[in-house]
Amino acid sequence: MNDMKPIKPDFKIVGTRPVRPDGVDKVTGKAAYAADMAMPGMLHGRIKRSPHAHARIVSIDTRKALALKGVKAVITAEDFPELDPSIVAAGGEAHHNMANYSANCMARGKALYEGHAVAAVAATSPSIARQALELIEVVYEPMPHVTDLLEAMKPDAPLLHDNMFTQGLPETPTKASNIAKFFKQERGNLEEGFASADLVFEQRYTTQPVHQGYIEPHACVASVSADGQAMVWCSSQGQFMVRDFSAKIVGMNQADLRVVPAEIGGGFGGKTVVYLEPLAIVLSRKAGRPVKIVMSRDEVFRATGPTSASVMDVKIGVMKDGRIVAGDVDCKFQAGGFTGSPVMAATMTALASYDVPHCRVTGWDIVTNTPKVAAYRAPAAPNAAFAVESALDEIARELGMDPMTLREINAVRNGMTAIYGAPLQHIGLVETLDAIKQHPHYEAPLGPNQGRGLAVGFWFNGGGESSVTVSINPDGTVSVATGTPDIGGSRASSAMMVAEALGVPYEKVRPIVADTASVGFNEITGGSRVTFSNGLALVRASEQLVDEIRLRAGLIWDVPADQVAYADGIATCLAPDRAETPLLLGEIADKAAHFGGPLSKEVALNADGVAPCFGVHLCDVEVDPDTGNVTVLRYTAAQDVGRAIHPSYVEGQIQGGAAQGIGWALNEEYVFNAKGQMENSGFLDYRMPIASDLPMIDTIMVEVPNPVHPYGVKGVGEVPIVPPLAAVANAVRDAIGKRICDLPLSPTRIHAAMTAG
Amino acid sequence: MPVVRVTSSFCDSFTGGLTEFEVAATTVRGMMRELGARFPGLAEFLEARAAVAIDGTIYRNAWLQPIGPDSDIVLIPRVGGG
Repeated sequence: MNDMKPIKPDFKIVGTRPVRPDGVDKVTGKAAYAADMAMPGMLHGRIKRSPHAHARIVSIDTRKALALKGVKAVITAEDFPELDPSIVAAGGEAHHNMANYSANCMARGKALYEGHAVAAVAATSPSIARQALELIEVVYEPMPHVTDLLEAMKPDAPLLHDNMFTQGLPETPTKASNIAKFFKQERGNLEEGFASADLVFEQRYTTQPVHQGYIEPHACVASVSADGQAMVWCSSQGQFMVRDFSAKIVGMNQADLRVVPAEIGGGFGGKTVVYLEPLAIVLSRKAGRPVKIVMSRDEVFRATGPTSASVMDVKIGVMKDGRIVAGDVDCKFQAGGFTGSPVMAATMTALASYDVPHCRVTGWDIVTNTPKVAAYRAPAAPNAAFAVESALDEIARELGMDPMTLREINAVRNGMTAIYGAPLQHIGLVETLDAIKQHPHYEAPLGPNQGRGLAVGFWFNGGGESSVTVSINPDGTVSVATGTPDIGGSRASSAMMVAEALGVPYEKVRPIVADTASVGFNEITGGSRVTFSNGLALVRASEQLVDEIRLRAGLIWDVPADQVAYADGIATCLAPDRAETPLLLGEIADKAAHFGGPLSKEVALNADGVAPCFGVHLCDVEVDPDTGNVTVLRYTAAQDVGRAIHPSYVEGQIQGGAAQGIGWALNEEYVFNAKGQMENSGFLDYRMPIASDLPMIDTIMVEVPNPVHPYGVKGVGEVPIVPPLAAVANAVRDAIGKRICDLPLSPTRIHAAMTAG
Repeated sequence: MPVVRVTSSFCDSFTGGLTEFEVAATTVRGMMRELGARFPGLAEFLEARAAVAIDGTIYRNAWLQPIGPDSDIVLIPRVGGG
């Protein structure tokens, strides 16, 4: 990355706010999502799901379903290869155990949560498919279940996997348990740190599972040809992820599976895994016809990954002057039916915003009879920040100190070492804290029953593998192909970065999101990586094109490339004694065939050098003393954004993250009954914030550029969901005078706290 | 010789809890191989699960990245985003 040119101070397009290339189709309803896809002869798939939270599958009899007129295929786990646990997916950010992914797509031997898929059908109509589900006879042997993570940790808890022995302990236990993994981050001498503290604060905080709540349910169409080659059209955060995961799960070559990305109606991490695609492929292979499967909202809640419930015990030691001298945080995270909660990230982010000389953060990954968790925007960081930022708020009160001052004293600065061991570089926490402090909101008066809360959040951001193609067309316009679904405006940022680098108007650059056969491998859209990683590749491709343009113009003029200048879409001949008329980019491109062929560059890279970012949020609430209902009155979110390529879409990310975090804080939670079944699997009962619930979320973009990226990009999409849980909780504490340590802060819970003695 | 540090427990089952290692390697891949020779299974584990911070810059899968004699090297668990 070090060969990239330095940040240019004189941007012409970066930092402006053009209309997004995909905007018109989206606001006019013309954009095609996965559920819009239809093919001749297409069948409709439906999935039979376990009504039990935990049950052995004794037998599945599909004969009656297959006999129903219109049913063309029925599948169970028997139709999938049994994968070795050592098979992992390559190229992703984290470690993906494909055997578990396969068993999550289709239960094998046991149903591990209510809603776990046990069979699927493909039929000529949705109604026939539904009837067929009723005809599939599944004999279950119900088993004791456990949905609560603390209960699941007990030695006598119902065991989900009898071959699970806790990893990460000094000695591997000889008895199986629901504790999948243990992690620990530490530095300094914890005992010494707490012994030196003037004040030691301890508290337990809890959160419940919440769903990403994307508007568009999962959907796909699969079509397998007689020769085994297949195409899938689907909504996901990564067409290459869908290809690679599905190919492994169904047992086919990656080159035989072409995945076409549809538009995506939100993902937030929840579409970084597969649920439907392997099933649709196997159904289509069996039926010999295309198969479409669309989840209902009920299925989305019951069968796709929410984020973890969590229990966090925080102990922080401070001096009277506010310096934090010791921190000990224990994080227990729910993984759902299979190992793989994001607790590792909790251990790495919990204290990442502060310079704590003596600290330890431990993490426990716990399986429960609940849907397997999936990523959700800065996975685990919001939970951890809720605990630590709530504790700091109480500590500030005990010290009689402004909560901002406490954070300013302890904020990490450039050169300091994060708890995970790496020195921090190019960070802007201090600047972001100052941005909030200088905002009028910070000193605005509050009324009766109102309170104000402050909280800080950290996220790593991501890099990784990106492949792009930039082509100059004969008329001088530019086509750009990337391989990452556009969730947050990446078409616009891609076009802007290319336009900036090539010196052409934004409107002349048209980006597409290409399928898996049309561009090189790309990791998912996730981890706040796309503008950073794709941007590096796009700018590099554009710079290569500029070199090629100068060469071609030189060939046209019979002068060396170093005697050609190129800027703003015009090549100028610098050769002395030559009065050549400058060439427009289109004029050079139109002659491309004569001087070496098309002007097109592909760049594939693995982007490193990512810089973390911080958010600082300030929230005002009013609490109704009669009902405990919370109204968010005012919300200001400041964030170190690196460099905002398209400020409107960066602001949108900040506002969206804040809105989701507010919902997590106030209303959202999975409610399970005594049978381990979800009781609120719809948006009427699972209350997400809607526009009328929220004030305008004011945003402040603090630009502390990352010099590794030619335009200073860091990544912006995840950190805005980290501070809101604590910001809201701290505001409620300020309003009612009592601390509630358990989310959500529902009216019932708040009213109970207010009326308690 | 460069020193490799780890502040988390994610390698403990291979290293027995050791947190600092001197290596003679000049690349990330060489460092992983050297640690693997010392702690069986660790190289494969690191290849799949670790990122490496070299003088403050975090690398993932950059096995050919050079390591200098005075490099500050930290093994970090890989973390997935959303």
